[in-house]
Amino acid sequence: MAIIQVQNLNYQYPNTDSKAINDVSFEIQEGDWVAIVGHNGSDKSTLAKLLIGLMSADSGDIIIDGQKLTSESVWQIREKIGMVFQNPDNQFVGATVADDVAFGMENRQVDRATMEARVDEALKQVDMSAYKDREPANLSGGQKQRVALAGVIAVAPKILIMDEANSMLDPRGRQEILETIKRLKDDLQLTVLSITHDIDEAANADRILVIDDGRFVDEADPSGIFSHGEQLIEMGLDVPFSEKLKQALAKRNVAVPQTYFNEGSLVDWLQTSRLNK
Amino acid sequence: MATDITFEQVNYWYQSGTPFAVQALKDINLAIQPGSFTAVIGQTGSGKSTLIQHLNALLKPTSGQVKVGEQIIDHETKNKHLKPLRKKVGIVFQFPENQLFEETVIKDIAFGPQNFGMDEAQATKLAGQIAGLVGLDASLLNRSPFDLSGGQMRRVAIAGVLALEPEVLVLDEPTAGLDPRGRLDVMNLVTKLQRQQHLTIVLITHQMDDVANYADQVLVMANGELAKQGTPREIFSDSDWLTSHQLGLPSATKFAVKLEQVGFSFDPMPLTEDELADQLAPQLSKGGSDHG
Repeated sequence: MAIIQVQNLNYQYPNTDSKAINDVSFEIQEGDWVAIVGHNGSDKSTLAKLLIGLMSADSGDIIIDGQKLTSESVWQIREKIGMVFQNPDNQFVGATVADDVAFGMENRQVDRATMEARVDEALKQVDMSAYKDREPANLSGGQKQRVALAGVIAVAPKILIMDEANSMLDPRGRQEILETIKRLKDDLQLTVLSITHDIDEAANADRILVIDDGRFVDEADPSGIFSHGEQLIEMGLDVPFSEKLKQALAKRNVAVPQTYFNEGSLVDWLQTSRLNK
Repeated sequence: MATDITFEQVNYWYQSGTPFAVQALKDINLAIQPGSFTAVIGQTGSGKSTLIQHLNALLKPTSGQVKVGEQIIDHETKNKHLKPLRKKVGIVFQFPENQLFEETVIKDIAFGPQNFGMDEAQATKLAGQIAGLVGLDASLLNRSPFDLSGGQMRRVAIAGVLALEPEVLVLDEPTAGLDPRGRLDVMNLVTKLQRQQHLTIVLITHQMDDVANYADQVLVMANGELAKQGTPREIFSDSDWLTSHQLGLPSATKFAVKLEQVGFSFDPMPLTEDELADQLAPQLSKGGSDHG
């Protein structure tokens, strides 16, 4: 079933010449991981803000879990969507990690016993139980984003939207978040929508949508998108290392395969080539 | 005049002399040559940012001394003597776009030189030149810096530091949070400044590919100590040591390690995809393999 349906969505910022979102339609199936990529300024975040009703579209429909997004339904719909933003420092309100995770539930009048149990469970799921009583300010970037994730999953959303949640982290923090998301998605049967420039994050998606100038210009699975080589840079993604190496080998007159190979399959191909020499 | 930088037995304690004192730098000795490109790597919290703040005396050694050209900085150095140093060594902090504040791009870039006594007309002229150098289109100069994209804002912030015409440019993760296009643009700018303007570059980064591609010298910080220093080839030759310090390898080196496990051999270990391809091509069948 499509848990997110977007039909002919349009949005234009005041005092601008062109539409930020230009007649966009797509569907996301329940339990899928979809990555939305695009260079800076391609209005990926505008789309996310429309999906959770932070801004309302000029025309078109957004249907979340069978319910149309309107000014009346927006609060019910937000119960179903959790969102993690780019800058971990901009999303903390609590004095301790536990307070912070509880904040979303306090807004929903969850009783104290349930709240405490859910805070503990959520922190366990993101592997941050040991930091329960710490101040969020003293955590590393990756730890902060995991606490933000705990706050989101504590209110049991069906959909998780990550808006460049990885981009301010060091490589280790990035790895922590990716592994946490993969695990949460399976454990909690989440639908994941990641807005990203990170090729490793995009590689985990079932499907990648490429947005440019407010329109979807391409859609494929990761290997379909990654076969675009140098054009990936303009799509807001890096070129995978396996593709860079293939190009470098082609320049040295090695007949390399045309289709996309991930690193594992490229190792296999190179080994076969070496043994055939 | 070319400026070289040396650290001699530098120790730094935060909250020195209090029960909360924490030693952030331990017995640091190093030298940075004029016109060179030095990469500083290390885990978050290893002392990288504390180290670079000693380069223009935002922090002063608790003991030991830092020499920048003729100027010696130790714990007794008075702030009033630091103006020439602050002009000579420009630091671009993390997410520098957070420090933009002026009404227009050109005013923001011209702020620094005016603060150092240049008149407005001259500062504006200089700011225009620097904006061109960092690749900001002239049409952007009278816009508010807050209307620009992340990559453009980053360039305005770097231009603001360059407007002081420093000899040494220190950058703390200048590509963090940018998209791949923005990252390439910033790194191309940094190498252009080194090669064409002969600036000394000190770059804090987590991107090992950038270290492999651009650095002459690598400083590895761990727990406040300078755990290792050397060329990228020296540093990346010991992958076990790097892994034990939770630091990565360049993509090409990482891939070469995988290939060694299936029978390829490399000497020396490649650091970039071109080095890898150079050594790989002669080991492969000319026609490629049949399958796949």
